[in-house]
Amino acid sequence: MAPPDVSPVLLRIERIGVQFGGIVALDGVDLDIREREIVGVIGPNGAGKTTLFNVVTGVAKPSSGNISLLGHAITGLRQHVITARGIARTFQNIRLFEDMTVRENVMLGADCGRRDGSPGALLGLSHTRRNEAEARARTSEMLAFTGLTRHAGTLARNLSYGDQRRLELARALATRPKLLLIDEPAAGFNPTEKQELAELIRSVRAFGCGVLLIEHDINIVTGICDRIAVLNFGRKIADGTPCEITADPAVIKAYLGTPDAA
Amino acid sequence: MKSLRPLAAVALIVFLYLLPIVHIPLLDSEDFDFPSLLFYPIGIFVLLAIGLYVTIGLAGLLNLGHVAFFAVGAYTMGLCNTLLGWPYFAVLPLAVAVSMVFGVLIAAPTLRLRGDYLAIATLGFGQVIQIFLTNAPGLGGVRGISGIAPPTSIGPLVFGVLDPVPFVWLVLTLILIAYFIVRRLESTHIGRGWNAIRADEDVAELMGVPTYRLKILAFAIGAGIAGAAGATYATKASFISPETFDLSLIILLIAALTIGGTRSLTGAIVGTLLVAYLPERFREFGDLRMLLFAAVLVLMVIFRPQGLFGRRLPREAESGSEVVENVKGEAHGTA
Ligand SMILES: Nc1ncnc2c1ncn2[C@@H]1O[C@H](COP(=O)(O)OP(=O)(O)OP(=O)(O)O)[C@@H](O)[C@H]1O
Ligand SMILES: [Mg+2]
Repeated sequence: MAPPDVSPVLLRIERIGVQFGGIVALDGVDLDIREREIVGVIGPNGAGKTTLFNVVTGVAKPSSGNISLLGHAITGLRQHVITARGIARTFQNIRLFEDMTVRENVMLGADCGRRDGSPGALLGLSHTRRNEAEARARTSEMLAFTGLTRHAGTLARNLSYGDQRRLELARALATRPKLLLIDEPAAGFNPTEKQELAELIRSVRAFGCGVLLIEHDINIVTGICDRIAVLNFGRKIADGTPCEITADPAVIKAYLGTPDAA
Repeated sequence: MKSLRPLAAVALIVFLYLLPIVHIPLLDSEDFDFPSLLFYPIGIFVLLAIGLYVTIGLAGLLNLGHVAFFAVGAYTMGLCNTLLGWPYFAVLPLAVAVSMVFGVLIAAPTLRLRGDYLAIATLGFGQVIQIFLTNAPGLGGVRGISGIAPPTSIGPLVFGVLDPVPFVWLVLTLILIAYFIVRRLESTHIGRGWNAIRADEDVAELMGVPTYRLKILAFAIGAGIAGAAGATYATKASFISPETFDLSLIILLIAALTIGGTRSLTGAIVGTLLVAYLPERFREFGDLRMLLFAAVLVLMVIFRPQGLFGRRLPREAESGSEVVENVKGEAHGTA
């Protein structure tokens, strides 16, 4: 699967800056993600990776710069609108609806972007019935894809850690994203689990969506990403193919550290 | 089992309609007129509780201004009937609509607030309405509005001053309609959205739930149901005053929801039945019953915080590592 260099730009991040009080979390970051591309985001702790996700999903407000999805600006839109436009995410610290079942969690994602309101629900209009059936079908598909079908009736809080991570993916994918943001999905996994997860993420492309992946495990990142962007102290210090990145002196310096960088 | 459920539901509904006309020994007592009690407090409180369940139980919004919507419905009925001569069945939809408008008006600014702040803002709103009703010109001050007419007869069904039975059927019908509406919404994406908001509003929003819109909807529906209760109460009582819409009523309703279990509609209804009926039934115990009521409430909160019909333990109750271990063990067992 060659890096789809020629496909149109899906997400364009332009000169994005984010500040928290005095802390500059992101500083003039540029990044393009093309359709169906898997882009890795790496960088030391506190580099601003999660903040990048937060600003793309509308959780953090940028102090400068623009973000557009398929050419349409999304900066300043309400979060659920951004999700409905096609950007879904998982959370670094798992944030499931713990007292809901696995199916209910995914179903909630599948409801995303529905335009039928309470009258349809009340009167059982055909529009609502069709949407409900579609959401159920989408949910079953996502459960099967992530291998959670047999846990469908389990409360999310009672899932194993690994299954909770998979449920986060299933719920996000259920929203029919054009771009999926995945934040450290393999944290705490053993090598076998990591391998399975890498395969799962790679196969997400089959749904036609691009992926922005934050991950500390460099083997996973270089294994499945078409391109990798490196953040350090809120700045993008490198952006290129896995080969280019692993050979980049600035990256090596940021990762291995030098007395003045640490 | 499934095929029996509609039958059981029909049987229950028939039983409920018969309740005011058959004499059930233990339920009845010398001290009171059971059908009157079925209308108020029982029926009206249950209707109010269903509305409150939508905001507190489903959307998780601690709405302490619910009684104000009850008052808005009642005063809409009182004014339209005494000033314009409109009959109950014409005013009812209007009372619901006006209460819903009030619901949206109070919700729009306060729903940006969360938790405690929302509770305080809605509590304040309840107080403001009561003060407004007492002081605004044309509302009768503390003496309120009297001479509100009962509904016009429907065929053989005559809504007279002496016979409470038709009123019981009226409020029961409204309860069934409200129940149907809430159950219906609960089972679709609207209900799932409310559940998600209650669990984690930030994540709900990020998963595409239009949280603000759904919270307003919850307020509007809760207020609309309370408005229907208000209009119906007014037409039967024929007299309303600010005193009826006192703060103590919201405390009683929240106690009822707590006893029944805030997360279950059945629980909210059963809890309200108990809270509305038992103090009347045991009137001979005087003030002692209030003490008992308080004791029961405290014991509930300690030993069954999820209420009689609560679905599962809230997170707080599981913070002990032992319990967590047990839950994990169960999960393995079922896997
Ligand atoms: N809501 C916030 N308020 C204040 N400061 C924040 C907030 N979110 C992030 N920061 C700060 O911004 C910087 C970047 O944080 P961010 O979470 O984006 O890092 P990260 O690259 O995801 O790190 P990690 O690998 O540890 O997850 C950090 O210094 C962090 O303390
Ligand atoms: Mg992070």
